[in-house]
Amino acid sequence: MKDRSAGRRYLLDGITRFAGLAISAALLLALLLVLGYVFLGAGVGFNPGMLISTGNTTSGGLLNAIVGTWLLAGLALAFSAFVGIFVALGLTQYGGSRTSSLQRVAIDALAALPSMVLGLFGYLVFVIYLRMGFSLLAGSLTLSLMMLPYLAKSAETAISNVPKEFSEAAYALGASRWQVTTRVLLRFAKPLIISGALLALSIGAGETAQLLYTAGWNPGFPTWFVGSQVGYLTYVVWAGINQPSEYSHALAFAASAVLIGTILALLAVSKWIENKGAKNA
Amino acid sequence: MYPLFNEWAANYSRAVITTQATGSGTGISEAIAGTVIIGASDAFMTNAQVQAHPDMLNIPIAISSQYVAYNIPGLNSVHLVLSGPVIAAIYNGSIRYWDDPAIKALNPGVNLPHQIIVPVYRTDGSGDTNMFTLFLSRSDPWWNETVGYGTNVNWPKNPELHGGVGNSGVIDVLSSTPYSIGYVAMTYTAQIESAGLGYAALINRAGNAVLPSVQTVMNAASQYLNQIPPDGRIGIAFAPGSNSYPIATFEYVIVKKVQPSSAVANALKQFLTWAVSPDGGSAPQYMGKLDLIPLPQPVVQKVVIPLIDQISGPQ
Amino acid sequence: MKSDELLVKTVSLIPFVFLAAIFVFLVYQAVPSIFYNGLRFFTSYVWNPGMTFEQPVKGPFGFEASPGATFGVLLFLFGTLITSALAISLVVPVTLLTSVALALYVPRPMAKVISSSLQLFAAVPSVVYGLWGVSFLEPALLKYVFPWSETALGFIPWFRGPATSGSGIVASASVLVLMVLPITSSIVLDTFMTYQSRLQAPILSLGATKAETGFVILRLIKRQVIGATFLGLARALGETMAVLMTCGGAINSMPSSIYSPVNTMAAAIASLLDSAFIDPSGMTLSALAEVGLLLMVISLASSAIGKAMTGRVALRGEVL
Repeated sequence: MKDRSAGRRYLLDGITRFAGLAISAALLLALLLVLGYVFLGAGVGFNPGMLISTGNTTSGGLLNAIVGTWLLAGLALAFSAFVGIFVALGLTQYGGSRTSSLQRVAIDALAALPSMVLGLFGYLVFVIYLRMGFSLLAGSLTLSLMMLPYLAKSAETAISNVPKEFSEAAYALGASRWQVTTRVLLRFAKPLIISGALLALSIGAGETAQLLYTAGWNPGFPTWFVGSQVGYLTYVVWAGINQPSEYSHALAFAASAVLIGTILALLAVSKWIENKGAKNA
Repeated sequence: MYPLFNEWAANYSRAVITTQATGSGTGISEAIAGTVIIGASDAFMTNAQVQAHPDMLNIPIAISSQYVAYNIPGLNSVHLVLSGPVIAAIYNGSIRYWDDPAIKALNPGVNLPHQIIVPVYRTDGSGDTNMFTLFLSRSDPWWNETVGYGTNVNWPKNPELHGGVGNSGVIDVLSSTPYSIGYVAMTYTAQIESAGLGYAALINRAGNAVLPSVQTVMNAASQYLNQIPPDGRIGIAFAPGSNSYPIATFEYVIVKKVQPSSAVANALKQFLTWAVSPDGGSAPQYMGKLDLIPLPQPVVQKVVIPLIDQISGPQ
Repeated sequence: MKSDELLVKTVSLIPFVFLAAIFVFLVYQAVPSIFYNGLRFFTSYVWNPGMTFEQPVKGPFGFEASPGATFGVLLFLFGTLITSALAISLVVPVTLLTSVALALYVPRPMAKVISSSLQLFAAVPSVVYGLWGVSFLEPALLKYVFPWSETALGFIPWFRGPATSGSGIVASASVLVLMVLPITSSIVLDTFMTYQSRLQAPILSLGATKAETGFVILRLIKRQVIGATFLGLARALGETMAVLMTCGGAINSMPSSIYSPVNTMAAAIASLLDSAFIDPSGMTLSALAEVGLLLMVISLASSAIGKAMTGRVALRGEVL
């Protein structure tokens, strides 16, 4: 350490302490203000009818968008959970070291892709090349690309956390690798996988760029996986605030509030399941 | 066009019409593909498209127009007089301030502020951009040479140029940006009024300052009666005539010449004939409600009816 | 190979397949633009779709475009870099100070709560930050902040303005700060606390103040801090909606001051993709694919550097 007088060192300490605490408080305050502003804005223009009627961003409500968001994110979760769990199995139970590192690189690269790049890919391949058009299927497939890293990582962590003794005991009893996987590992990994799935769901519900040119928009409900477009909440936020009418803005704020509420709830449940799973292990 | 077709669909009893809101590009391509019977668009098919699909008809069905709107605190109730060359110069930055001598010359007695002008453009490809830039191309040689017209153009270099998404996005940008100027479809009259924006009187080809209205836009369309080609594809911006508003465009329905069945062909012909009739779809109750302008009857008789007649069932 | 092994190995190839597919499709779609625009793509800020009403004409190498078309990514690239750089320049000091404060000066339980809340903010959707940016931040910037900065900082040419609207570089960078901070601060705080548990007691016992302890540890984890910055940068580079809503949608002109409207690669793809449908030659779509390719490469590079330095990947909301 440099030779400084004690006074100056304590002054530096005090300044750092003050600056650090002040900045942290300011940061937290700023972020809380953002949330507060959104909820306040939502409260001002809100009317409960918005939650139970369909709408088209200039009139009506959010029901079609809410259902659409759940459909898109839910279907995307199904796709990414399926692949993610298998990837995790490949990394932990079925892997060789060479393929494992390639797998990890692929997953990490997918996680790093910008959302609009995924959206552009989804448009080019699912909407145009594979002729799905703007549809629930195209949107959820694109969204699943974003969710995949979350599921793969959660599943891998979950499976690795299952105590080795469990699988060793099963092997000792003569179980095959598949039996051990399904009956032992996945069973005990379930809480953490579900927790990871809920986290992915919460992030997926808030995505827009992947869906803008794959899901389209629908003032009603989609009729099937392809052949009709889907509405979703983030679109309402984007399109609603872009309109010059007070009502559209109210819809945009309401959609934001619904989104944030849903996301917080999903995250809370995710955390709770994770903690409960840890306790039971 | 979507609101118009919705109104028509609700009130036309002789056939069932279902509608879908998309952009013009989609309207045209879906009509070509056959996934819809009628594709509505405020831009006619391009030469390239016509060459590729000679079996399509571009039938004018209505006229739409545009405001050149602005947000100048204190002056929004005044209709400033602007001309194509002045607007072109505003967009390319050579006219930088609202109190520029060129603007002052057109507006003697108006107390213009010394503030930078913020021009606004449409980021999405749109018939409104096409309308606006066609007007500028026809009224300003520099714009015609350098920028041209289209649903998406090579906007001149201006660091103040801001983008808006859709007509509503443009109104949004105009409302939140003092001293801005942009182009907005006439179908958004109500929103422009409630946003408190002003709009300009434009100098037309005859040199007169004309405000946008049903009459002045119809005048513009009527001027082209003798120039409209049989296939209906023509831009009607910067029309001659002393009382013509210089920004206007036909709204088109794009349909196949040969329909899948005679029944469909006949129903379609009946509907379209009703749509352009002043007692039917072109009555003020539809057009006025949506701030669209009906076709002048001479145009209907000379161009539209013959086009409708070309629709038939399979040979 | 047994059937279960085959199933697992096949399905776990899927991420790889998709990653390769994304790359291949983007390259395939971008090839016409790469050849037609050539190097001009990287040196020009002009984005000119050409006369889309006319017949497409053949350009160099036989690729078709509308007459007069030429595409350049320079504005979008510059906009991406400057908004991200501006955001990062604020994110880094704030991250460092917050980490030091939370780790050293705040009781541990409270620090955990605050740290968790910071992560929650990473899960707030991008459009919501955009909504806040458009309705609150932009009017506030135009009305209060810019008039002040025009005079107070006006001696710097780029800050002289005049500021004509709230949207632009400042607004975009601001929302980026809010979105990147949770990522960088979680990694730095986490790493800091790991080292702190081993080192704090020995260092303090030598007579150091808490601040000095903090600086020592920071110096030790410098690599992870830089890595976390790269991970945050990767997020900022690819951010679409919030930036799209606050950037001002500039085109065909480089920003002339910090108050100017701007455009970024991600925002440009989102806003211009619609216009690509109308271009009969398909060159606009190809050019946008090239923009996407460039964006992808830059983001992957930043992410890779960050991963190499920290061993982590930035997934939003993960470190709860």
